[in-house]
Amino acid sequence: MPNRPMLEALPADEPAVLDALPAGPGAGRPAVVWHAARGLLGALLGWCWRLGIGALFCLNWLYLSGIVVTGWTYRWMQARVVRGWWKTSRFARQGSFEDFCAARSLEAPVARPRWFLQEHVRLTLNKPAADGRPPGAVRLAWRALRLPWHSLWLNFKIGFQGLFCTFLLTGWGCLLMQFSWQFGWLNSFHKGYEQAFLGPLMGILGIALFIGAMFYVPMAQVHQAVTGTCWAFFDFRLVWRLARARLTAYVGLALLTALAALPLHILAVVPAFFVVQGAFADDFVNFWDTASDAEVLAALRLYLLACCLVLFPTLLVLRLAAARIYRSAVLKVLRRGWVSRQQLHPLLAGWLDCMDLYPPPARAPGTLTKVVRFGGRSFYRGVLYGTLFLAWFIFVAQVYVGEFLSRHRAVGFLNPADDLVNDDPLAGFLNHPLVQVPAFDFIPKHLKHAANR
Amino acid sequence: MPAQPIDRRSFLQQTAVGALSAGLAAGCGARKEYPPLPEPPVVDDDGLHGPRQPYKGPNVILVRFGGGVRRLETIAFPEKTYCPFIYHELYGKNGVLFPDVEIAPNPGIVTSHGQGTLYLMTGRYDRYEDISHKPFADRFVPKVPTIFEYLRRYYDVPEHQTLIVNGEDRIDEEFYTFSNNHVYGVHYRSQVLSLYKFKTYLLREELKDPSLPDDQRQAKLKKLHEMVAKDYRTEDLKPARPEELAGALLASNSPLSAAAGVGLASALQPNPALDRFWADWRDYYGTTGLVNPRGDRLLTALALRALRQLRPKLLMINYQDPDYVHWGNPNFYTQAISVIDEGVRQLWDAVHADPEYRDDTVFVVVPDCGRDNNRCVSVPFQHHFGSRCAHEIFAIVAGPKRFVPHERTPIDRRLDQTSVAATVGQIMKFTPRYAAAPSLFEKV
Repeated sequence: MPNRPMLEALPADEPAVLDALPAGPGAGRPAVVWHAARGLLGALLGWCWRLGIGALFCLNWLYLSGIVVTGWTYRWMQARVVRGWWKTSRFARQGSFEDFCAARSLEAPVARPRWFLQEHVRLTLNKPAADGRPPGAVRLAWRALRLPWHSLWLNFKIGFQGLFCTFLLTGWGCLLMQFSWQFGWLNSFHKGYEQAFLGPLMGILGIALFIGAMFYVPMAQVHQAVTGTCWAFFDFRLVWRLARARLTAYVGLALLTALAALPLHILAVVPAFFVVQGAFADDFVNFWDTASDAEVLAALRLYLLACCLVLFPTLLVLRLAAARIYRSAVLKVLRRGWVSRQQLHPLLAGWLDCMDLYPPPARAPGTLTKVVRFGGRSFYRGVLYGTLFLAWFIFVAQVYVGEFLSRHRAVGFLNPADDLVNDDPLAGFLNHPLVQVPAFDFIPKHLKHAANR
Repeated sequence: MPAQPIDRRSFLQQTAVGALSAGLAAGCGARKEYPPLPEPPVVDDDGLHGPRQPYKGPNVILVRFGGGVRRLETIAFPEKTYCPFIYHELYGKNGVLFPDVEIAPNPGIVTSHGQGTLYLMTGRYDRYEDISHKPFADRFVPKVPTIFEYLRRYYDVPEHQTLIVNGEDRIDEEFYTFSNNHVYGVHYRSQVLSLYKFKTYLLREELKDPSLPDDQRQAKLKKLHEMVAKDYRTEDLKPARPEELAGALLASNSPLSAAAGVGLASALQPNPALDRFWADWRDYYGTTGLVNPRGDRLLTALALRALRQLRPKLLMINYQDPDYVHWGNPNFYTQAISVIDEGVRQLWDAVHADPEYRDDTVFVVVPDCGRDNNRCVSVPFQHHFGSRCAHEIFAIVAGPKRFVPHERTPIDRRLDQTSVAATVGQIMKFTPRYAAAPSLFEKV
């Protein structure tokens, strides 16, 4: 999304398009009920479609679809944040959020982003050319060609930008953990007592780097999603102020992420037990033992798809929580005066302006309150930072336990000779699906090859 | 076994139930109850009276092909084997292969290293549990005698000639040297060669030095006490505090204690032959631990020295490094198999270079357990969690023709891992009365 205050040109009190339309003569109670039911059914079907596609894409087809999921969730977060502000504004009483956005810009967020089709199809097709004239046939044809894929491309682009920034911060820790595991155990295998410290040291450093990054990344991801710009991710001062403004909730988000990661780790590890006698029903175990490679591959894909149906909604819940924390944090820093309106990203300031959202400054506390707050706050913050560290440590510890139970060797495509590896580049220590690429593709290369033979 | 048809609904249901139960089991640590195993026979008098006879051979070298190897990388495909010497030389030219040996798929029979080692040594399956149910600990106590006890009860073989060579990663297996059977037991124990034993020897020797400063003496006593505390078999014989060790060490050097032989924890027990062995080791490799071979190569080095210096009649080598693949690097497994193969080659050469051992030594190679063959994970053999493949092992017996038939075709009948004890008994001419399975050579 271009970085420009696009809404300033429009008067803030312009009525929404739908408000201006007269109600039909036959509009009555049954029509309202029918309208509501149709809306409900549409939303239900729409969400089934979105969840289904999201889960399917979490299988990380062609190593890319996980990126598309990231982009989609970023667009969804942006909508959740803007919608949250809109609901507190006076515009919420004048029409729907969709109308509010549609009246302002084609690039404004949509409440429920699409996976493939372009948003606002009719408006996009009929948009005048740069010189203000109606679009010609060639331009119309070009626009029509883009329609089926535009959102897919947008999701991919935003997802790629988001993941690039996320990996720039979290990737170092992940790499160190990966090297520590790989070469630390290699040294242990060869009993290199002289370098025994190297593996654990690298591991500890990797964990520390990852946890350090995770103090910052969840809020930065939302900030990037809402502003739509890469550089916003590295607006360290603002992002850190936002995190500190809602520190309790931010710690809660970290705890929720650590908790939500647990079932996913269990699901990732469970295939290691498929052949264990007594762990499941006998015919189930026999199936994994004796079925053909093609049957095992198909069944494993089905299992992983089921896992993705857990992963994707879990991711949405976490993104929703992050968006809520972010939108209240922005208002809080403005209210407290910790950040001036000029210091905000221009796009954020533009949204708040066009919604007439000017949070009133908080009342200055009395001296006694100040003293009590100062005394209590430092202790409370210390506890919160400790808890934040602990939450992310629990998150990382789960990865270590999971990798011991079932190692997900990654980057298999780089070495054609290595068959005992995941084909997907993103597995094990190199990817945490709830933070980085939402991918759950744990199909081993040897199984793919055997099934193809 | 043919594949059972499984529909999509039941597949997902069972997976969900399995995931839930795996999670709950991990969280709650629930212990399963299994139907009881048949009790071992009660033998109050094994009929062995009078002086024990001198042992005249043959010698047996039992190679525990641990920790956990599958047939697939060893014997299933001759052209792809990672242990070419064991396959082509031991089996191909000098012995016999039993390709269908299994650990019985009975409920509660665990396919792991400590358990597998004891199945081999006792000839009987049991549900071993750590003495205090400590997680990931293998402090087991065999209820029936080990092959070492049988040999020493039948024949006049000193304990330093019944040896277990143990690795440094599995301290618990140091103490599988005797059962708690009242007829056999500690009086017929075997001895262990390991770095653990070497370190306790060094500490004992250093503490004999009267010029040792007091602070260093206290530190060394503390260290020795920690090491002795690992011996879970002689709980009531260990000094409770480091200070008491000084007295115990004095006692260990007295002739009375040496004669009694069982009055102290094994780490404190004097054994002049072993002490000479360790003194020689120290003179050759020093005390740093950085000069001697490492990992499973160390076990080979210890075994080779033992053959020269201690002249064992029954030697068991507990190789273990293939188990490193638990951490997920598949080359650990294949490389470790090759290291063991090379170790066995060196032992074979050493035996054939020694006139006393040549033509009078039998090699028995058998894994402690198999490993999984799980096609759903990137490293299919990462664990040995009790899958069908983890129960499937093999055995190779090689040696002179008068002890071992040289069969070019594998003996393709289903046999039990517990048959190894009776096989060793048959070769060494003793009867393991408590063993449940017959010898591998016994015809159906």
